[in-house]
Amino acid sequence: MSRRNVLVIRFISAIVLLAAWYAAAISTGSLFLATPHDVIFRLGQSMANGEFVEYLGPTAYILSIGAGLGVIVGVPFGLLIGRVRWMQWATEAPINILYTTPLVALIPFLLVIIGFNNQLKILIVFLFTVLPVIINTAVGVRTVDRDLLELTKSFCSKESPVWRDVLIPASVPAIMTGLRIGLIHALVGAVLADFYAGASGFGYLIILYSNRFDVAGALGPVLVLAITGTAIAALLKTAQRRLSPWEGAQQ
Amino acid sequence: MTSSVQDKTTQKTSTKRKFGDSKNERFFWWIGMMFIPVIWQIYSLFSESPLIVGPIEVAIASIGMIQDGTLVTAAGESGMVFLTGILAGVSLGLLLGLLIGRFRIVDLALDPYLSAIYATPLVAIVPLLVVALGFGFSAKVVIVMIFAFFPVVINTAAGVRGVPVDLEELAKMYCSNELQSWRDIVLPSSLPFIITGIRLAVGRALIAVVVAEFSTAVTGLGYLILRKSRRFEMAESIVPVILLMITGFVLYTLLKRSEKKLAPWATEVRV
Repeated sequence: MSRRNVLVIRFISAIVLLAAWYAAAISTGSLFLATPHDVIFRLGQSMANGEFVEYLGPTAYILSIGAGLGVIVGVPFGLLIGRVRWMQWATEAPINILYTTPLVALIPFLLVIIGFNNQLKILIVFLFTVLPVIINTAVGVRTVDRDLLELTKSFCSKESPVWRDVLIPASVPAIMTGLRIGLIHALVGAVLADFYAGASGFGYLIILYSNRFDVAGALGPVLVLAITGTAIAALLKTAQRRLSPWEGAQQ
Repeated sequence: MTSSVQDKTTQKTSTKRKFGDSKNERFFWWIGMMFIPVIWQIYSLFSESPLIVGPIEVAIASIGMIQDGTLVTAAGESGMVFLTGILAGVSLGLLLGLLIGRFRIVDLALDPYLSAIYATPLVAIVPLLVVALGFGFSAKVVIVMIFAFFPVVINTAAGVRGVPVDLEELAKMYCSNELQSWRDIVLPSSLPFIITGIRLAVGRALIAVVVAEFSTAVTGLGYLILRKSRRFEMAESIVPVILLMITGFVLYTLLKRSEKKLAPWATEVRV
């Protein structure tokens, strides 16, 4: 299909979806769904009166610290358990169990232990981020080409050059995947933390507006979160392609 | 759209096995498995706070909760929401995924939106859904359905899109009709992707059940966790969490195994 046809289809689909949104919003009434221009208008309003920034600040804070810690802890830990076999065996069960647990169920319990405060929220974001980062990094190290590793052995390479020349470069794509998934999980964690672990922040703004039946107002922050998530995914995808162009060629 | 699938990393067992390794592996596996419960138990013994309860207290509490029926009732309520929601989400996801994978025009039209929504923290719309749909069973089912839908669509579409062109041409050459080529080529070769989608959907649906029950009316395991923890009955509040953990892990392991059985060559995707 030619490039022009692709653009035409994308253009038509955008218009159809937008029209469908309007139709749905108008036919169901403002209590269920707001029209796109209402959403943009209310978003502009809440930005103008400072509410937006006031609620965004705390969430941006817990998000950056929690996700930052998650990455700082997750990548080295993943590298370690990917390389050292007894550590892989020892961490396999707890990591898989935690990864498959709906972590949100732990929030009320953590709330009682730690209390309503920023540490709790940071911990929640951290937990959401760290697991996918660890798992993907470890998979990256484990799937490094075995021939290369044997080669380093044949040349009596020490451990640190093996890391520098083989293991880390080869696991970059998997680490980037881990970062992408981890950061998107971090967003989810931050919203859940705002919902259930203390009424503050961006997530709480959504609840606040929803409880006032201000659907247009509540959709604004949702839209911002959607754009943030998509931007994170797109940025890290591009970075991944830049850092490891050979990966894309294989697929 | 290929977001979740492009990052396939083939999982190979890392290095050659040496003699005696499997024994070591089991030893370290058990150490890892027991580490957290044991530390937790020891900590709870030395902690003065009545809020820190160890695994033994949790086990005792679970027996009590099974006997008086609270756990079973809550699990039943959550299970109903989970099953209905996931059935709806998976079937809709399969349908749209097959359409997208098979018809390039549908793919082009919907791809940017689906991948954008897939990267959106969907939990953010839960308060809105509650306002629109109320606190009842249907609101919860819709929440679970939405969470389960996206991984299935995206992985199914990727699977159908990835059907080898050679095989399709072969089918055409032998004049097989659409139905036959679906049955013999498209479905078998996209099945591993579909199962991966369902596995991811199961994980997300479990999260959705808990979020739905936290945000809506008073039923299910989610509410049981809230009620018990608000009364500071810590042991009782952990029991449903453990049940959710076991459910998540068992379902994940089962689907993972079936993936490996259906497509031993297949790829490791973690989302």
